Amino acid sequence: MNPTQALISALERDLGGVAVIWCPDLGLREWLLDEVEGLAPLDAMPLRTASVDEAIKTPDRMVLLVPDDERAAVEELEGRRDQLLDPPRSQSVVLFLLRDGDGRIALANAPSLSSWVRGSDVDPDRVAEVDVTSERARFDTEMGQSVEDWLAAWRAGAIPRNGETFARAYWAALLERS
Amino acid sequence: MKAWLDLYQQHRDGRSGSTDLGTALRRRLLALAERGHCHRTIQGRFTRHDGGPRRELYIQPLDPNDPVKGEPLVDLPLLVNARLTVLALLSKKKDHVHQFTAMIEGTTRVGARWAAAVHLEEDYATPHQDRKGSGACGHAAFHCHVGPTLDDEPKVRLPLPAVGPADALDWLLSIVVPTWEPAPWPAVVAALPVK
Repeated sequence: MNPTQALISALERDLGGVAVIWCPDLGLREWLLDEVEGLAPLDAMPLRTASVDEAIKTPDRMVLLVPDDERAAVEELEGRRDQLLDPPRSQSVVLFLLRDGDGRIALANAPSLSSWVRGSDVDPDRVAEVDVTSERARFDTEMGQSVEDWLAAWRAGAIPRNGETFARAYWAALLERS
Repeated sequence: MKAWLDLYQQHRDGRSGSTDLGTALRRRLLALAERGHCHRTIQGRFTRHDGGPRRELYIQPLDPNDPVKGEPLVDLPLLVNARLTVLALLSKKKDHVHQFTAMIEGTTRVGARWAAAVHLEEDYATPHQDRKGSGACGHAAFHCHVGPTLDDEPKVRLPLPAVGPADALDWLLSIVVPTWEPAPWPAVVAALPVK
């Protein structure tokens, strides 16, 4: 499964429930926010907020909950679970937590919420991360030359340009040593 | 020379921006699927790889065993066996586009090979960055190709205005998809300042 499908699956698994998106850092959290907004159905009308209260009060919108204080937000969601269920939500709450943030520990200590989100939590950037060392070795075996040698020929115009070779060039550029 | 210098500067400036390129491209691909020209699963198959500091956006193949690469495009009035390629290489921190390519390859109704592509040159790998060829006129950093293939000589490398990758994809699709027009004249006229 690719990271986009992993995200879609987490968002669709429990419509009206709570999904958790794990983010590697604050910069990439912005990317993930944009990505989830872009994947939301038209009628979801995504709403960004840091407030659990606002999330609860907007059951008909997909709420992208980006808390300033992750621990407090998780504890509040745990304490107000009944209000998330009644009235039933037509759109989910998507909680963005840092992979190594306070929210992870708080979620582990929130039995009701952690059980609810199990299976609807995803770390898309972990799914997206390629093992550069092993992929470089595979490229070498498949192409009979290193990433750098292949790219040198590509950049010199010695390889025909078509969909297949462009895809290989971008893949090689991803694997190229910086 | 000033016009080409200005254009090069605009191309460089256009690499950075706050808009979400992944979402902008996905939106167009989904619209293409909604019109029945590609498979609807493209929403989840337009995805990414991360490797070190870079991120690649690409379309995961519908059938990984298909020997012909690219997303199959169907129901185009002027092309058969058409394939779409969309690729971007970004800085993982999102604020910079290193390279972008969108390409359609196919066969015309009279059996001739046909390809068109928009291409933003890579800007990080060599000391010359995105300055390929002999200059900013003959080899603009952001340009398009049209021909039987991208390798046929003489290569047509037409400079593009600094519209950005997603809008350039619109332009590419407008060549082959009927009614694909992001700026219809009535809307343009309505948006013109009143004199």
